[in-house]
Amino acid sequence: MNSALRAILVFLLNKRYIGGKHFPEKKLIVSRTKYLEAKERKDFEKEYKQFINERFILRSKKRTGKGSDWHISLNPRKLKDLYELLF
Amino acid sequence: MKKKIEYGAFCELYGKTIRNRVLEYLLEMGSLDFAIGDMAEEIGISRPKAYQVIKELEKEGYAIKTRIIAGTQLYTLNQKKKEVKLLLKNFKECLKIIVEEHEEKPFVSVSSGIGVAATRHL
Repeated sequence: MNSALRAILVFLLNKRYIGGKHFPEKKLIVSRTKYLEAKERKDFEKEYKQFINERFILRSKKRTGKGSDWHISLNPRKLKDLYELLF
Repeated sequence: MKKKIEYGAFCELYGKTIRNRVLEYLLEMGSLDFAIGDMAEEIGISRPKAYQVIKELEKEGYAIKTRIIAGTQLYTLNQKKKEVKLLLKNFKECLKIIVEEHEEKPFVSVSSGIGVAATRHL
């Protein structure tokens, strides 16, 4: 698993961003991919999209002060599978 | 307006000190490297304090320098140290507790003789 994606998933799990509790997507991705090389970033984007398609990560648009932003959280039904993937 | 501090399972178990918050950040990042300024902003501590704590952790062998990008020194967790391996093990167990908290309770149908209201308490 890509190290940046792993860091994102562990952050969401540790801080309990599961189900209805969500975190801004752009803020998290930028913070974790800031120092990645171009190839690593491409691999990250590919894997990240895969995790969203497989519904490990829930992505929804939330209304914020600036209009609306995409927010992400973990799928509570897939937590066990996610834990086995991470460790 | 003060930023709300979010504590993870590690800090809830071992104490909400600044050193533990930094350690928790290091454990979350794993093999990914980071800049001290970014870390300070994310976990809600001042930059001088962040530098002080990282210097201490580097002296103790928990954190190591990795590379320099655009004049910024990056650090990461020293996964070769015995104590860090122990910490990672404990962190893994803390995350397991969170997964178990959210485990779905078994659904018992009404036809089996147990009412819907009773199933909520299982």
